[in-house]
Amino acid sequence: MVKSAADWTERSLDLSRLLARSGLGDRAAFATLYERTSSHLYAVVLRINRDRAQAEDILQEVYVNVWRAARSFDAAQSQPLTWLTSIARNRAIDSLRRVQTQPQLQTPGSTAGAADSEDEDVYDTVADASPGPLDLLSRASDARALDECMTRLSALQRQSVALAFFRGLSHAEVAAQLRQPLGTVKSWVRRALMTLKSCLQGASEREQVRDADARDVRS
Amino acid sequence: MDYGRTELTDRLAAEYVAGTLRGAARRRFESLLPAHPLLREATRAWQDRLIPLTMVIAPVQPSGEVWRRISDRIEGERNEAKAARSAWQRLAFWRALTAFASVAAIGLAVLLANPRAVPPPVVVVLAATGAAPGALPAGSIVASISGDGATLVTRPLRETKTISSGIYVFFIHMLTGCSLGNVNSMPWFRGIERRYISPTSRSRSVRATSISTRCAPVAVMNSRNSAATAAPRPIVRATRRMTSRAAHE
Repeated sequence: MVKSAADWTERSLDLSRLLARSGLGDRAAFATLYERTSSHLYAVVLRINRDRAQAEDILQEVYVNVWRAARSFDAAQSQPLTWLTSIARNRAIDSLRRVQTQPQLQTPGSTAGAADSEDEDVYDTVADASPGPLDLLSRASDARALDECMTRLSALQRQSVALAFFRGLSHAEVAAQLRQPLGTVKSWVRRALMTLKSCLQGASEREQVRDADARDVRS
Repeated sequence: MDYGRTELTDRLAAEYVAGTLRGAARRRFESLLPAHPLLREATRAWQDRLIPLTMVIAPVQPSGEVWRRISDRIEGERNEAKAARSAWQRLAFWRALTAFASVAAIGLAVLLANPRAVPPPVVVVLAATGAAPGALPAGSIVASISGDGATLVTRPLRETKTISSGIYVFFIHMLTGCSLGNVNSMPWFRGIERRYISPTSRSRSVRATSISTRCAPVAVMNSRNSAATAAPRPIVRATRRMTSRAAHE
């Protein structure tokens, strides 16, 4: 499990190489890439689409697309793990749209059913007792030194952005889940995102200052 | 919607990456990405901000079946690509053969049916420059190409005095590999493009005959009055098109 932003970057360096070789048609490199990233991508997808069979289909689509698009990956522009996770997230979010437009079979525990009855435990289909989105957000803020920023947000604001981001809920779904007006939820999510942005910018500036100070001390 | 506005761009990118941009708006955003560098830039920045937050999600091992299916599909695509390539190569061979056969067939058809294909007769009126507009000037001639395309005939349009005292210079251009046989029954010197034609020649016309029926002589002659400019080009078939000029000397 990746614990910090530094780990993320470190893993990315390794993955860049594998992705570049996959782009040249190296199947062994692609297999290694799959081995090292699939459990993360699967977990991300599973958070959004909790149907295991569907999540596996999504994962399959993601990697087939990655194999085709590996050549176009630009390591100078983005980190591989960010790139891969974004592709997986987008696929997963798109799959929710398809589920909604498909005729729904009302079987208990299925995604379609869960969307209709918010009171049902949505984690029924996930085997382990995984932490909720809010818990994840607080862990993420620990890992990225965001806890200070997060305290600027109300509990409901934090929860709304966590539900949207980790579980792929739409504004309307978040509003239904939290039993809040749609407009309110929209502005919460927006504010939370903007706070996150300014916090991260502040954090990276502080880091730079710290690095500069460290250099001054050494010299 | 004005996607050029930075603030809006940033907000949309944030919602796209966070996943709250949905439905038609999400599809529109995705379709705009390739063409909007600003939108792409904002999206990338938001991905760098938000996506690493997923690192706190505990990994879940997918079943081995997933990799087998991915592997099969990739292998399948490779084989398809290979098959397509070799099919293309086979196709390319047949195409080349077909192209060759077509050319050969056309050649044969031409040879069989058309050793003496009759090209449309071409008649061109060549006007002397400097003549009054609307009036056919004294030096005008009619150039025509015979039905078999081998002979060019020029005749003065009018019997005038000026024509009898003029000296005409023909610039006859032939296609490469073509040469004139004779002009007014006189042998045409190979490689020589111009020849003085005496206006006192009996016929008053010029007959330039090509050696071969495949080559038509094309002469554009002008009167003695002025240098030839923008002489009309005889309408002949593409293979017989040649440029010719005549100038007064």
